[in-house]
Amino acid sequence: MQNTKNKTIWANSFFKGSILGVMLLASFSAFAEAPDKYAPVYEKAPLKATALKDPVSYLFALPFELIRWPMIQNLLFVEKYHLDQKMTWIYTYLKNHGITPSAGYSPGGGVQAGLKLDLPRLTDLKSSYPDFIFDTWMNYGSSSYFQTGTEIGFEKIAGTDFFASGLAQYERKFREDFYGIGPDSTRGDGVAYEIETTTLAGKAGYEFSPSLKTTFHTKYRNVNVGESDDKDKGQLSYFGPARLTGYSGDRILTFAGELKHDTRDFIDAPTKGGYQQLYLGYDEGLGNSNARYLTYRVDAAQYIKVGSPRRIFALRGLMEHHDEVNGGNIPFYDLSKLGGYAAAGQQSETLRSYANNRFHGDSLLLFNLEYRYAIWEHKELQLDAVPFFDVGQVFDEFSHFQMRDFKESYGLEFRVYVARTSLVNISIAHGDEGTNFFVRTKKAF
Amino acid sequence: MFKKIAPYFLVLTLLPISAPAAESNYRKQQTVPYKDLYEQNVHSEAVNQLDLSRQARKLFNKPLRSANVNIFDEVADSAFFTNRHARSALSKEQLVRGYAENEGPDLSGDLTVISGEINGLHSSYHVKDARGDTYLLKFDSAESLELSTAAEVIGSRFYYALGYNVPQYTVAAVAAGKLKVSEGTKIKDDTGFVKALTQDRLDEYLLFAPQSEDGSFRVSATKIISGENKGFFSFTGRRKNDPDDIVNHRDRREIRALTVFSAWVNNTDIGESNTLDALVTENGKTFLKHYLIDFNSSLGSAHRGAKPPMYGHEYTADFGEAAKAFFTLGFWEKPWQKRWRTADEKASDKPAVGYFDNREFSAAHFKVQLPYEAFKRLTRADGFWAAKQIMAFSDDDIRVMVSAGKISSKESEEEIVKTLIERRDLIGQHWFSVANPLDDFKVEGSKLVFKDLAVQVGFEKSETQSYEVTVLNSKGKAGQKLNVNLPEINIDSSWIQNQNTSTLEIRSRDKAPFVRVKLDSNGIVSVKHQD
Repeated sequence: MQNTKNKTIWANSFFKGSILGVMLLASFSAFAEAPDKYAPVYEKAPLKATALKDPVSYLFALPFELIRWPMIQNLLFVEKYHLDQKMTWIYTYLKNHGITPSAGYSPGGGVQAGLKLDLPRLTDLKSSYPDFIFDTWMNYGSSSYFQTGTEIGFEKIAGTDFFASGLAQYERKFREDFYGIGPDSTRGDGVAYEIETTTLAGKAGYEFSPSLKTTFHTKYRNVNVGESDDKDKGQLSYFGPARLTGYSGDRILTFAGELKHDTRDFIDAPTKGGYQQLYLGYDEGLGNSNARYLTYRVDAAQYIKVGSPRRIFALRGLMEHHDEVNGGNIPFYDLSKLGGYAAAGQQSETLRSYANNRFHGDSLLLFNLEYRYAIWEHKELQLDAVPFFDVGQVFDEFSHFQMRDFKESYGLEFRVYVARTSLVNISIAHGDEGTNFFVRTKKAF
Repeated sequence: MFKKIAPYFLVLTLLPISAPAAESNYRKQQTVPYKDLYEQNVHSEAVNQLDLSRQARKLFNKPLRSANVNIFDEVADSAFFTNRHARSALSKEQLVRGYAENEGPDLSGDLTVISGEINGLHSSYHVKDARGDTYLLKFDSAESLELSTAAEVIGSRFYYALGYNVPQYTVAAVAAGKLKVSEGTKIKDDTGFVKALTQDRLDEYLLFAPQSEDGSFRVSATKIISGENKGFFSFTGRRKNDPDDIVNHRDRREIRALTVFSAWVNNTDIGESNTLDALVTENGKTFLKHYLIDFNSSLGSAHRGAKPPMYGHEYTADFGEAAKAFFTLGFWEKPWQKRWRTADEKASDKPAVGYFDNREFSAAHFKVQLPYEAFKRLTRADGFWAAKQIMAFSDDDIRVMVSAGKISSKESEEEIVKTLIERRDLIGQHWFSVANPLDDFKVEGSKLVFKDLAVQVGFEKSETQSYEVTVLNSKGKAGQKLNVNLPEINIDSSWIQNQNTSTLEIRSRDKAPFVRVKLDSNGIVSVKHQD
């Protein structure tokens, strides 16, 4: 049934065209055989080539086009000669044979390169002596540090859960920052110094279980302190020998014990568990050194799933305190340090919007809070977004602790993992002293 | 220094953009997955945002119509596509056989290995059989028996029946000991280095390939295309020196529709890297024939194992999905995450099925690995055309094509068939609802008759359907309006008499997309579905 909506048109059309209509209908009937609907017949024939874009859009895209060609040639070259596979194979081959090269770059530390030799693997002794450790290494950061060392020992002694090793290491940091002691130091007072440390150390311990172990350390250090070559910063002498203990360097003997409980399911990207670490150390200066102090340190972190392993709330608390013993003192370079984002060869604890080593003090209290959530996954690759909040302070004695001395830092980090191993992270942090930007391979905790 | 070289650099960089390609021959075009990834996932994603006409079309909802559709809104046969099953149903034998030049490698004699490649525990070899034909043999992984080989062959059957050019794919059982290494054969192994392949080394590699109880190796055998290999074909531009290649590939309906077809067979790896242009001579004419190749990422397979859970739901780097997760602080569960969670984070317990089901499947949101602009430009008319092709396959047709995979477990085979049937209907339902589902227009006597495909396949009931017809004048202005309950319209002779032609705009419901049928005294002049 048809419903006519415009009866006037319908009627007029019907009468006016009745004669011609018969002819037309006859021709429709004659055309009842449908044409080939797949025939290459086009409304605007013949087909013509058209531009992919308008000229203005081409112009806008020009900067990208300039990059495109060399980029594509590189990618073609890499795949044609399988350079990615070759590089991976070479790295894996070297590592399996006891040679681990490393390279990197950090804005503060410049270009970094390193080489670690696992001598039992290198000499094919690893299969005969799987628990034997004999490592030697060398690391260099173009504007930050040089380090070389050797460690010899056993991961398991005679098949038991006891372990022991000895270490010899030489380290020279070309530029360490110092801003004074205490929470009220100012950034403008920043100076740079150079520190050279030669270490002979031994450690032994027992692994109660894969998650619990205790370690005892003995360490001898010869520390030399000097002025840095950095012309942009002030000299350490600005603070004067009288105000800085350890200004002339020291020889120090350390005895320490450590207990570590670690229940993380993955070290780099834990989805559950946590760690708790207790450290108690005694340092005694030798010769002319007046260093004599105790170090207490509690470091704990917990990783809590927020309904899914893709959403993790991570909380870390760190408390450290140095206590002078019998009129001894604590060298300034061994004080608790706070500021920056812990990088290779640096001991300053993480307070990301502040400069590295920004605060020195006898004691340190720090909390790092992170909410880590996955925003992209592709096979074994994962990208996490991590809003974070750091709050911490240094102080002298507990009686001098004040809430108002806490320094805050907050920001956002993006982390890339491969098979739950940290590959790279990029972060931006803001606080009272400005904004910092980091590219790192290791994360805060 | 930079100032000196900058002009040369600029000229060199712009040359590929501006200069026409050499007319004399077809240069071999190179692509590799890294290049494809960079071009589609990085370069194009950025540059497309700066395309003013593209943005304007988005803003004013004026999609760009496919440029190669004929007056009946169909795609004519070409070197890219040949209308097959939807035009005239292929027989069961043709469906199961797919594109075939022979029955597969001649296994009466040895297969001589002429080159090979090792990726992890997986190997593939180019071999020559007793007839002198060359094949690429690929194996399953030990954990996913029959998955990859079946996916490859089944995928090829679907694409061929739909209309694409594919090489010959067969499943073969190669007896151990049949593979013989020829003198001077090289192999690229996991190290990335090319090495000499000896018989001992081959036997070593084959230790990792699963063997059946009779000791033979199950392989998918791809017959190497006989024409001269000219590299890949782009999904964006055209080969300017190919006289047959007039339309930008981005605007070819059969290229745009690949995303719909790939959603059906779950082939997430469809991309430029898996295409091939071959210079062939057929019927006395030498021309470039455009092939789709490599279908072992179809169905539940990818990388010779079960498909990773995010495949089909996200691009390799999916900025949109990442942004959504970012702004919702990770509390928005992505569809693939939900699907994976409800699957207890594991693929099917049937190795030949892999990870293939319709939970969280969305015909509108299926994504292949790379965000090709051609796929993003798919219009409603293109989607309808693709869905129409898909709906032409009956349950039995699907069953027959899946049988080409020679899966030993009937249960596994039936699970794949069931998923494909369901997915066919999901795709059909989607496109027949968002586009105008009326098709197959004919003039019979004084009537214009057509088919409502949504009714024909049972998505809608004929009793409840009615059609709104508007007669447009020569200026495109609406004139007479009619409502009909059956898929036929009495043609009023005055519609044509007054202006020689007349256009009827037909909708299957109020404000639904239209189809415009232009008539003249000889019958139908053109059919156009709304984009």
